[in-house]
Amino acid sequence: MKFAIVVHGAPYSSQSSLSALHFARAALASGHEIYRVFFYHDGVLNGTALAAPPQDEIDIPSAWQALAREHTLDLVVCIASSLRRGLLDETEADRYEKPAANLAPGFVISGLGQLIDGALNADRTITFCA
Amino acid sequence: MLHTVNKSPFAGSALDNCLAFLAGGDEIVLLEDGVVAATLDIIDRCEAPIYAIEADVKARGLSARLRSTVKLIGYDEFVNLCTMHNSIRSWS
Amino acid sequence: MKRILFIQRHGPHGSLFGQETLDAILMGSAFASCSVLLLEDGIYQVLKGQDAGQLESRDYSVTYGALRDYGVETIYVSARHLAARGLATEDLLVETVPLDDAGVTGLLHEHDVILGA
Repeated sequence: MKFAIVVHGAPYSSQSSLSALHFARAALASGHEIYRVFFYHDGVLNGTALAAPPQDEIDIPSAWQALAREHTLDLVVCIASSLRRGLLDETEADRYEKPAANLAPGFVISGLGQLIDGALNADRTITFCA
Repeated sequence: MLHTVNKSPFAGSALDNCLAFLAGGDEIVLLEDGVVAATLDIIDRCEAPIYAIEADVKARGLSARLRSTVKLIGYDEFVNLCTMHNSIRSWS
Repeated sequence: MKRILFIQRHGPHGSLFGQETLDAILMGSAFASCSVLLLEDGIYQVLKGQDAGQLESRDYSVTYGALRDYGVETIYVSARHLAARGLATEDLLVETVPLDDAGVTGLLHEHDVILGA
């Protein structure tokens, strides 16, 4: 079965992203497909390349990246939510003449159409609220 | 349909909404702070099957206080419940 | 075609959930059959007389008035949550269909996907 996972919470602000991560791992381990993980609202901050949590704590953005590498996941951060909150890829950093890009490899910035596409094409859509 | 509740009933209306809009055949998964409800007698009056994420219950030291009506599950069973219902509503 | 229900249960301005969820509703209505359900403080999203000028916040409530033009089928509201706030449908900027609890339950089951915070 194909799952779309929607994440509303920033890492370390709520448990939302950690729960979504556990759910994604379990779905993949059970042989299901993850059609897309869509990060929305503060959830886009899961895509930062600059998180530096203490070494004895889980690095949530890196954990998403590792899962994406292993299973070729589509990790999409909402562009409108991202730009407001200062999360930019190279293209957007250039476009808005900002001094740096900070979107982690493995994530892509895209529009809300990707949320709707996921909802329409996945068999199930589950949201992890902040 | 499957309902998830991720907030304590003492911290908002997630559980109230879930219970108010429940239909026959629906099931409930308590996760994160939502597992607090798994220790309260309000849950006994609910006719829908109620599950709680074991990792969340253990992490909060609530294992010994669970109501007998609640079934502990892992994330694999959570995923499986999602496949058995046509849609999922997350109450927060 | 799948039917999407967007639930809005946060009031305006206290968080960005309302404004960003409205963006998702607009996008959803371009591609799918969509309805909106206002619960709890989400009802305040469409209260008449909003003026966010002094807040330096965007006043997006008028966009709700255009949802029909974007193809959103119906905006539903919990009659119980409306009454609990001392409001009536006449106090709202847009035409809404009030539902009792059983009506909301039915609405949830009529849709294939439920989005919104």
